[in-house]
Amino acid sequence: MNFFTLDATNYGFFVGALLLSLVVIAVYKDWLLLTPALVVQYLVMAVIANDLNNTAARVMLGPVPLAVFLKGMSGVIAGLILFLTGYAILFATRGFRREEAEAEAAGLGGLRRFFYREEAARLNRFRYVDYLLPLGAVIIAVAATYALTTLLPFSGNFLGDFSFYLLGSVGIAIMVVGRDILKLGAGLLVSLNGADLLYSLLRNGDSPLVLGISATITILLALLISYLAILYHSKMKTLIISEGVRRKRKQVS
Amino acid sequence: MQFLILALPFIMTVFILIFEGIFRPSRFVFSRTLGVVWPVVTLVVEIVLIWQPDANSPDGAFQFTSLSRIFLSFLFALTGVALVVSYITGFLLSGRFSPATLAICGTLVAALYISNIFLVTLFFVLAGFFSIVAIVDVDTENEERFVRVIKASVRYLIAIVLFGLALFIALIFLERLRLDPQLSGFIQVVVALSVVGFSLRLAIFPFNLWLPDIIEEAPGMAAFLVVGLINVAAIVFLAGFWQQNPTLVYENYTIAQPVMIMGLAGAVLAGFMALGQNGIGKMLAYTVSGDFALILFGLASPHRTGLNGALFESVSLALLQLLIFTCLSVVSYCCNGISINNLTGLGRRMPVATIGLMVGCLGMVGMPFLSGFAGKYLLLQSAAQEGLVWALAGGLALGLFLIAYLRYFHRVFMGNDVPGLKTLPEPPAAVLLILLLVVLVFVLGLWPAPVLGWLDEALKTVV
Repeated sequence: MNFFTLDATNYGFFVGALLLSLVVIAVYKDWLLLTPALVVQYLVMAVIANDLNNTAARVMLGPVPLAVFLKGMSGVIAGLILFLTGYAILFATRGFRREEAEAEAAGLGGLRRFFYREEAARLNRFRYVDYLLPLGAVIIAVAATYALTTLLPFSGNFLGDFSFYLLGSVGIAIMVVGRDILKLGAGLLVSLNGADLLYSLLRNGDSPLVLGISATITILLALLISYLAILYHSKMKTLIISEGVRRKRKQVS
Repeated sequence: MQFLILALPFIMTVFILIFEGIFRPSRFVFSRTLGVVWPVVTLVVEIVLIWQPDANSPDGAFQFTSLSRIFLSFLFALTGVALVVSYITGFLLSGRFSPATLAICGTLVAALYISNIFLVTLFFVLAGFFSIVAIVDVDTENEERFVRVIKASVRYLIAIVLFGLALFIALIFLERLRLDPQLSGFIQVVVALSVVGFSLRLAIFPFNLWLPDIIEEAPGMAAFLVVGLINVAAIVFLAGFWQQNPTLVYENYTIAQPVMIMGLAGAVLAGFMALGQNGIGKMLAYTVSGDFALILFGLASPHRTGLNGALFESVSLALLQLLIFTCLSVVSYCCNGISINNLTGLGRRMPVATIGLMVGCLGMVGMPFLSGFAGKYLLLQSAAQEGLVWALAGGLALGLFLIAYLRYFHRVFMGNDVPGLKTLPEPPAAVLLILLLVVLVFVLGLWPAPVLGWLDEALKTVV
């Protein structure tokens, strides 16, 4: 199977991978699943975009088209940045818990720590609604995508229109239902990928410079999200913005 | 030459980052001083390079229009002043502001220099990214403020990515339209997307949700980078973009009219919103949003007066925003970082900052003899050419801004003194800068003709 071009044998595979990766990004909170799904989504979109607008430029005279290379690499690097961010946050959380356990063992754990632990347990417990809401949003986004693709086609290519609308609507859905910084960032990256696809869809021939800068923007966006996430977590011990605001309000009142 | 113009700010950004990484500004005083010297010198060199005759490449790939030359020089001069103010008010301690500012200037040069409009869009998005680094540069000890700054930054990040997406998609459709002029339906799509994109970037009501928290919580000079530097550069791009594609707006009154209505309605509604705010930063954000809405009206207006008014207003807006944020930074510095919303009667303690802020606020509402007057006058004249109701709506918006400004100004600066409040004296260098900016505001207000003439000539060359 040739994985750089779309044909009848791998069409279903790529569309399925795209849908699955988007569902994982939208529904799961765990960055261990979220970041590989983001990378898969970027790689799939690279192949679809290349199929819609074959670029003549090749990387180092090899078989890989420039568009696939740049989009794929930017996706891999962005995914890696978010993965490392998640790992750093996990590492910091472990350290914080260890400190807490030591304080507890030394008899320093007071009422304040008890309430903090209670609150953390409440936040981290499994709740169906946390998964139902994003899943519902994805279903609505897919329905909207299908409606838009059939009612407002603009490129003459069903797959292109569908993928563009899907990335746009799921990206916005993720931003609407997402609560933590990494999730919001993933939504932004998904939407950005949609605009890249449209560029490939409607332009006659890709400009390597535009593709390169676009890939740079993707990587910088991932870096910025990572910076904000680490900055916020280092101070507030959470990635959920509303949680930080609520905690501060509670302290003030 | 082209490479030097594009690369110099970024090379200096990396250099400053390395230098400040080795010599921490929080520990070494000379590093703090050089943290302002390097970027200011770079900006001066960049201004010189921009005006070189061989700056424009023969193939047209890299081209400064006269308009972008004037604006970039002016904005870089203001940014230099902003850097000096940051130095005086102790904002360069963390070592993030100078490199972020230079990186923003570099991306703005690229955005107004490179002819490929897809790249221009991406560079404006990049400028927004860099500005976030300056916005989150706050004291993390004040957790409540820190949380709000991060929240505001995430909102701003979403807004700039959406701005980029909307404009990028609009440009793709425009390209399609150029290839096949039969697809005239795409004109509406292109205009709608570009207007929504720029409304997000310029924070025009109702796309301004990100702005109040940024101005309220971010350090004053970081807010200037967003409002006075990037947004004004975005206006220059929008003016050029619509001039170079006259079929989109100028030759299409049925499309221009809704954009003009959106601008005026945005200004009036922002004025009403400004009256209901509970913080001076939020009030400022709504009035700035209203001013940008008036500029959008002027840019979409088919009358030459409207366009000239919008461009002059952009110049005035950048200057007045610098004056206002300089004064607010000085107040914050003198009050040791206490939120200005909790203070009253500051006029007696900080007379120069008070005068500067008063001049800035009155300039923003277009008071005669101040820099805001000529631009607002031309915009209202353009509105009057559309009809009396349009002019009255513009006047109402300005009236609402005036009430909002006076209300806050009276409470914070003219009320009773806070007993027991310990404040520092105004730094002499900051006093000098404020007075210099005030003089500039008066000069531009009393003698706007040369600037109007330059802008008018520059606009002709863009067309």
